[in-house]
Formats: sequence, structure tokens, C-alpha cells
Amino acid sequence: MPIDEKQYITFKLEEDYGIELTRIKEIIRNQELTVIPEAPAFILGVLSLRGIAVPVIDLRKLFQLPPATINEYSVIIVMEILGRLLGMLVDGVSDMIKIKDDDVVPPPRFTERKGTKFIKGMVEKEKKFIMLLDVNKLFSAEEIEVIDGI
Amino acid sequence: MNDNNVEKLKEIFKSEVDELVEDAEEVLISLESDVSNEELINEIFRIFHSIKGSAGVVGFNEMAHFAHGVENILDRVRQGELKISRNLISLILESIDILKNYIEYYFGGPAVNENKVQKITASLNRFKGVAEPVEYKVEEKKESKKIKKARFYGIHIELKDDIFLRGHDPILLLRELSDMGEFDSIRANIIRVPELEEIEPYTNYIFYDLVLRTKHTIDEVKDVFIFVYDDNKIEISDISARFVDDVDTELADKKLGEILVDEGVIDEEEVERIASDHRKIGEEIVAKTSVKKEQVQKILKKKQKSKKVQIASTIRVKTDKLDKLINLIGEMVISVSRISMIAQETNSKEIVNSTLELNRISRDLQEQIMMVRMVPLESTFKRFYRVVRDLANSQKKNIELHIAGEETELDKTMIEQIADPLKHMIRNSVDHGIESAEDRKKAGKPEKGNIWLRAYQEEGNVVIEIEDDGKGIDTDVVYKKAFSKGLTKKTRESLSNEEIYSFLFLPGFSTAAVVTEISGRGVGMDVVKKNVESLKGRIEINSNSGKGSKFKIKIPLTIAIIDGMRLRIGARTYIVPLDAIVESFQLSALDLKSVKGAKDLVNLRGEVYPLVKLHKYLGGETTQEDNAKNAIVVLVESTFKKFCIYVDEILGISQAVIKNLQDNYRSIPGVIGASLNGDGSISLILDIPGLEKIMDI
Repeated sequence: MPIDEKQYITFKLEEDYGIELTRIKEIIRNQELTVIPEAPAFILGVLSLRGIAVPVIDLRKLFQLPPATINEYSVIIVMEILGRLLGMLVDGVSDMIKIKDDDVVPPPRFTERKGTKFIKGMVEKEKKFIMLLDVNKLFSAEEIEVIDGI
Repeated sequence: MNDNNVEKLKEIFKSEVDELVEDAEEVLISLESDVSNEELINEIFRIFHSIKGSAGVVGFNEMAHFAHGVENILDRVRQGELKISRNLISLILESIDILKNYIEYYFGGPAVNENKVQKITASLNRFKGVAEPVEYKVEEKKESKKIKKARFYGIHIELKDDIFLRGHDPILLLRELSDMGEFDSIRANIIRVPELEEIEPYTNYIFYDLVLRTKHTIDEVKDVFIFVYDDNKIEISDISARFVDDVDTELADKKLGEILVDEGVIDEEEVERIASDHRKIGEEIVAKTSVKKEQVQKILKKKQKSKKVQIASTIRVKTDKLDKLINLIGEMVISVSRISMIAQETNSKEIVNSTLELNRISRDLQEQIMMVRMVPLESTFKRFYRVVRDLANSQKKNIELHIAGEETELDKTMIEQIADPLKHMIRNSVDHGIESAEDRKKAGKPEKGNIWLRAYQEEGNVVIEIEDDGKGIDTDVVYKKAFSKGLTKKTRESLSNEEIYSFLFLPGFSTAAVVTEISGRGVGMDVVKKNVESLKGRIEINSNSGKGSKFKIKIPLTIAIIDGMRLRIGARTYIVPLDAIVESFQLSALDLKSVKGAKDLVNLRGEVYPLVKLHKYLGGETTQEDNAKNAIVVLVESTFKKFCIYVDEILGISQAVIKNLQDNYRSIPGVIGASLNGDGSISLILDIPGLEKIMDI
């Protein structure tokens, strides 16, 4: 694969988002989680991935979107954020696509609004945009501390 | 390899890994307050790497495997793939505990708790990342050619000016070298580089001097230069002898400036120019040149480490060999004092003079042997960083431990005995001394509490201080508690602060409102006092309500031989340890107050002390009881009290070799042991704190 091209997994969460494929360990069907009392709202619970306890994040909470009903398309993307394994519950995985670096346009900047700081760029596809996530910016240092404490 | 060699290897392994584990804790705790410090991250990675290596060499594969897992994670941190967090540091600290368990297990301790290992491994797994990490493999022994331990090669590379035209590139050579191991130091000599306008792009101006740490043989290193070896000046030499435990021992003797020049950070003229000022060279270099502070500090640290190794890399001797030596010296001290006595009787000046010399030599010899047994308190002290951190975290307190004087030395066996009492007292400071963050705020103090642990020498004693800036000891609370527990019947007003503090050391005393897991179970301070007293030491307490408290432990440098004052009471001679004696004086009628039915009291410059008639307890007669008005009295002090002892005669100061009585007889309360005098007679050595207790002063 050319070096100016990367593979992305796209998923649905009202809109289309993309995550670099190399960061993803696996995608699993939504399963029952161990709910942890007193955990922050964005943490849904803990998933047992062959013995490894993996915290699962509710991306909708993080993006301040209304909660969705869990259906057979709901999946958990297990991926690496700042080096640690985390699961993200999403409405469904759509596609795997190749994106050239040159096709990426910078995201709109509406100053400090939450939701934009972790979008590193956008790509046009069929008259809509796929937002590419910079997953390392999803959490603050304090939030990482909380996640590691689980 | 025969069994003997294996045992030796294991021994080396233990001392090596014990030290590494200790270092690891220290580094992690510094890292906690400075999570992005790359140097610390590299350091902790290296430590785990070495632990894995050492465990692998002696065949402790489970431990090596476990350390490898942690190393993998630290490698990811080092590569910038994994961001470190305080919780991750806690996890790594827990895995150090596992490593400690493994070490204990391999040396006869209980088996490692598999559950715990699995739990921690599972937690660690979350940080392993998406790409599968390299599995740990037990190294096969097929490559006999490879050297087990890394060697150090000094390499001087001086390539011809036209080297580029011959199709070679020095950088490629350096890269190839760096693939073989790591550079301990590398320096580009740029003396020949001309002014910018004179530089010819195809000319090589630079020489290189480097030290390569590698497991390859010298021939393999030479092979890197196979195409340039003959025409150019390439010098390779094995300088491993200079390095002990991977540390360059030569650095210790070099000046910082010299090292910086060697490392190519700065040139000689610049150092000379700066050295003409009087500030510290390191500070000057930072202030006046482009060299960064971190660079200088890094080298300073290397230098200090080198110094340490220079000292530590001498010789290992089993302690029981030293103990035998000490015993022999003790015998010799007795013999020498006997010869001195006989010499005095001969009245021959020559014999007297030569025995005086003998005396001096035996004293020197004894001191030197004592020195051999002395070990710095450093490793004992540094353990407490972790103790304070863990305990403070569990109580949600923010506490910093400050350590000073860790280079102070103390007899090894005493260090072992003092470690537990110290730990207990430090825990007390965290638990009862430092208030919670809210309470501190209310009291107008900074939220962060401080504990100071200091050691220093003072008059033949080693003093260890534990100070905190917490709430101090509330004497009223202590008194009420002691009274309600029936530990005292006196009124609050009749007791001094010192007397109230002494209640803390009584068995069954605990002031904390809530009994915590660690301290405050009612055992503790009395045990601390007992341990310290068994070392012939004393504890002093200073406290300032609201501002903090200070505990001072004073212990003599050595316990085998003490300086003592020989006293005669009736027909017997006794020895009182010199550091327990405050003063001695002749009693006059005015000083003595006898109250019917109560103890005799002595008035000395306005202070009143009880007078002890020792012969009544220890037996024997005194000639002075009747005309007590002119008796000689010795004022002694124990932990909290001073009192006077009646004596008939003061015989003088002498060194006493302590022979304990319980070996062949039984221990007598109030007596430390016996000492052999020069004339063959025996004196009992008095235990002043013990006497205080049994005579109910």
C-alpha cells in the first residue's frame, strides 16, 4: 500500500466516522458487560476479552448524542487509545476504506465545542463527509487516570 | 557448571536483583510526579530489562517471563506508544511486589501466589497493545561463540579525508555498530572542521571516539570495518575492565569538565575559561553555554553512580567472618588492658611506653574492624519512599518524604534491627501525625504534608530523626487516655510533657480514634522502644501541638564494645555506659533531702533527682551509707528521666567488651552484661533504662 494512503474502518453514530485500521484489535458483537458502580457516565462497563478486562466506552455519551437502542448491528470496537485497550460501543460498522492523505480536509473549527477536538480531518464520500477520529484525543489525562483505575 | 558455581551465580543474582528492584521502586516513585520524564522512563525500562536478563541466566524462568511482560509494556511507553498514568505506575509497583515474591521463593521462601500473578498479568495485558508483543523465549545455549556478559570496546575512528570518494560513509559504519549493541558514549571530534566558507563538501573532517557496549566479540566488531581497516586509522580495544556493573568506574576520578569534554558536549577552552570563575563548574556550563541543564545533570548522575560502584565493587565478606574478628578483637582488648596493668607495676618506663603504644594500636584496630561492618543507611531509608507513598495513597493524604543523611553509616546488624522500628514510626507519622487534606486546609497549612527522615552522627552516636509537620502530640489526649487505661494515677498538673510522652511507649497504648490496618493496634511503640533499647539506644520526643512532632533515635555506633565509666560500690566494680552519664559530683548536706517513707532526693542547681542506692538492689555493702553527706554521686539519664547513683569511688574510663550473661547464665534485669577487667576480675555493666524500670523511679 502506498505510504500516503491509510486504511480506515468506518462506523455509524448518527453520522459516519472513521478510525485507522492499525489501531483496532478486533470488532466483537455487543455482549453483556459488567457494570461498575460509581464509574463515570461515559464508561458502560467492563468486557472480558479472553480474560483481559477491557473498559467499554459509550461514544454517544462522549459525543453528547441521544442514547440509541441496542440492536443486532451494535458492535464493540476493541482498539488502542494512548496505548491501552478500550472498547467503544457503536451503532454498527459500515465499511473498510482506503483514504489518501491528500483527500483529507481539515475539520471545521467551531472553537472549543466538544466533539471537534478529536476529529483530525474529514473525507468526502457520496456528498457526505466521513469524520476521521483522532482517538488519542478522545480523553483527557484525568479521564485516562479514571479508566486505568478500573 | 557444577553446583558450587550455580550457588555462586544465584548469590550474585540475588544481590544484583535486590538492588535493581530497589532502584525500580525509587525510579517509579520519581516518575509518578514527573510522568513525562524520558530519562526516568528509559531507566525503568533498563531496570526491568536487566532483571529479566539476570533471572534468565540463573534459570528462574517464571520470574524472567513475568519481568519480560512488564518490560514489553515499558518498551511501549519508551517508544511513545503508551502514555503513562499514575494508575499504571501503581500496577507496575504491584508487579515489583511479585518479583520480590519470586526472589523470596527462589531462596527458600513461600511459593508465589499464582492467583495474584494472574490477576496482575491480566491487568497488564490491557496495556500490551494491538500488535502481539514478542514472546519471551528461554535462550538456547547453542551460540557458544556469543559472549554472555556484555563487553565494552573503546573505538577510535579516524577516516581519511577522501573517504567519501572511496564510496564509504562514516555514518553507515556507526549505524552498523549501533545495531550490535548500544553506545555508552560517543564523541565526534570536530577540531579539524574549518570555517564555513572553507568547507569542502566531499572532505571528511570528523573523527569519532566511542564506547560500545555489546555482546559481540572484538573480531565481530572489527568486521564492521573490514573495508576500511587497512587504509585508515581504526583502533579497537576491550576496555571492559574499566566497567563494573555497566558503569564506567573511571568517571568517579574525573572532573565534570573533563567528562563533558570527553563526551564532546563542550570543548576544553570553554571549560578553562569558565573554570577561572569560582562557581560550581556544572552551574557555570549551564549558565554560560548552550549545554542544557539536563545534560549536565545526567553526567553528574553517571559520575555519582560510578563513585558508588567504585566503593561497592571491592569485596564481599560473609558477616560471620567479621563477627569472629570482632570477638577476637574483644579478647585482645582485654589482654592489652591486662598487660597495661602489669606494665604499670613494673615501673619500667620502656615497658609502660610500649604498652601505651600497643594500647593505641589495639584501639585503632578495633575502630577499623568496626568500620568494615558499617553500612550506609541509604537502602534502608529509600525503602520508605514506597511505604509512605502506598500508605498516604490509601488514606487519601498527600505526603512527601524527604530523606537526608542517608550516607550515614551504622553497624550492619544494627541496621537490620532498626529497620522495623523505623518503619513503624514512619507509618505512625503518616497515620497519626499528618492530618487529612481538609484538616490541614482548615489549620491554614499547605495540603501536602511532609515527613523528614534524617540521619547524622553525634558524639559517638548515630542519630535518626523522624519529623513531621502534622498535628503534633496532644498531651491532654494522651494523658486522658493513659489515665482511663489505668496507666497512671498522677494528676495532669504533676506530669511534665516528657513524662506524658513516655506513656506512648507503654504496652497497650493507642491514641487514634479509628484503629487502622497499619498502626494503632495498641502494639507498636512499646516494641519500638524495646528494640531501640536492646541496641543500647534511646528515643527522644519533641512535639509542638499543631505544628508537628519529632522523634529522635540515638544509638551507639557499635554495641560489642562500649566506652564506660568504672565505678566502685562497696567491694564491687560496675561499669556505666559513658553516654548515659551526665555528670558526677560530691554530695553536700544541703543537697540531700530525705523524706520519711519516700525516696531520697538530690537537689542539683534547682533540679531535683531521685537518689538510687544500687547496693540495695544488686547486693554488697557500701562504706558510705552512714556518712552520705560526703558521698560521690553520679547523675545518669535514661530515655525520659535522670537519676543519681551512690558510688564509693570512680575508678576511671575504660573500654568494656560486652559479654552477655544469658549465654551461660541468665539475663539479669538492669544489667546489660559483664565485662572482663584487666586484672581478670569481672564487672557488671549497668543498663540504665532497665534500672529505671525495675527500681520504679
